Amino acid sequence: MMASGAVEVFRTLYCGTLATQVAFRFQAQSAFFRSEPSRIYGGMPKLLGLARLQRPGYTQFQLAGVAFALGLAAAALGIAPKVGLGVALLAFFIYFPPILGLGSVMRKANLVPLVLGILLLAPSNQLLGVQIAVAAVYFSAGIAKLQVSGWRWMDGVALQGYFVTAYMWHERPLALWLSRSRSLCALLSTVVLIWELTFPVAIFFPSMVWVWVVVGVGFHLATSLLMRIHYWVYFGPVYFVFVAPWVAQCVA
Amino acid sequence: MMGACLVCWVLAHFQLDAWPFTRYPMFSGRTPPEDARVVRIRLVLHDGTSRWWAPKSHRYADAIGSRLQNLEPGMALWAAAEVLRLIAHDEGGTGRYRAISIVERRWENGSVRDRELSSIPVPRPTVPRPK
Repeated sequence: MMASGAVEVFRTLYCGTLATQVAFRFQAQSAFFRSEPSRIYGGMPKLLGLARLQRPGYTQFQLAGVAFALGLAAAALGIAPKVGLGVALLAFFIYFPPILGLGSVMRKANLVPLVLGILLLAPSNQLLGVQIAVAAVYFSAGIAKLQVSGWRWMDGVALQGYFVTAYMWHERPLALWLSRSRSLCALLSTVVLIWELTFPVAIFFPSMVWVWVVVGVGFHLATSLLMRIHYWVYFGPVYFVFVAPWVAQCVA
Repeated sequence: MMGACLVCWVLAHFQLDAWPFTRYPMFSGRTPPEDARVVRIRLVLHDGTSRWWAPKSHRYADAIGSRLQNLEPGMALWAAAEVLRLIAHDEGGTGRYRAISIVERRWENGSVRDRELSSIPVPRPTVPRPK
């Protein structure tokens, strides 16, 4: 089935990748569910901060996971895509809340329902909507740094501290090596903060968006290698939104 | 659609949490390396050797360690109980281990300094006596 427009390309790549991720991680995520993470991380989240979600039983959880993956697979293959997206969106709110403590889920899966909702409900400009949602994540992270530490966050001390902490947690020698250079940490933290705060700008300059995308991939690669923070699984696929127009052009 | 994006932006700007719309405040602080401190769990085996606890979901170690940053009375026992429960879940039993050690790690003069805060013996599994 050939995807024609950029939206269809994005839907195929995004939903296909997510479905594959869930299929491959289904067993590990089920094991995590059985380990009773609520004893460590607390109860279920409140949906939109209003109503606390009910913890599903194990069978319900597994069925929701299967429905989520099958819905995404259908959407990716273009088989009743709206139905598939709707099923996946509903299943998300059953399958993911009990496993939010999992390292690959946490806040990293938060964009999934928003992206699925945009693909399902937005009458037009779906890709723009997804790009705004991505930009909001990075912008929020940048704003938080300014609110907590101010522009001093860029002087290298903060990053030195995080690298040292990461080393004490995970024994990554590269983190230790980087922590020893204040000037390198200052350079890296300056790049990160400016990249986060200016990410919304990328939306208005589509021809320049690759700069933010390349820095973004490098940023997530670095946090993955140095700090074991893996955004690839449930957040990474949203980056397809920036390459989908180009892929659609090539296909056309 | 634009409404959803607007909500997303407002929550981001005002740093509000309304799952799945959440803020991203991680790594926003500015802790110098000399103030860096983590608390980790070390497992002592029966042969006297020890190793860091590495659960299948590695964030469990971070989460329990973070709760132990201020080692309040009772927290060590709570942590030990949870660690044993999770080891049993991951490995099928806790018989390999003799004790659970809670270790504070600090950064001093360019290297890591470890200090044991507490050591909790692992109870031996009770074997029912034959009648």
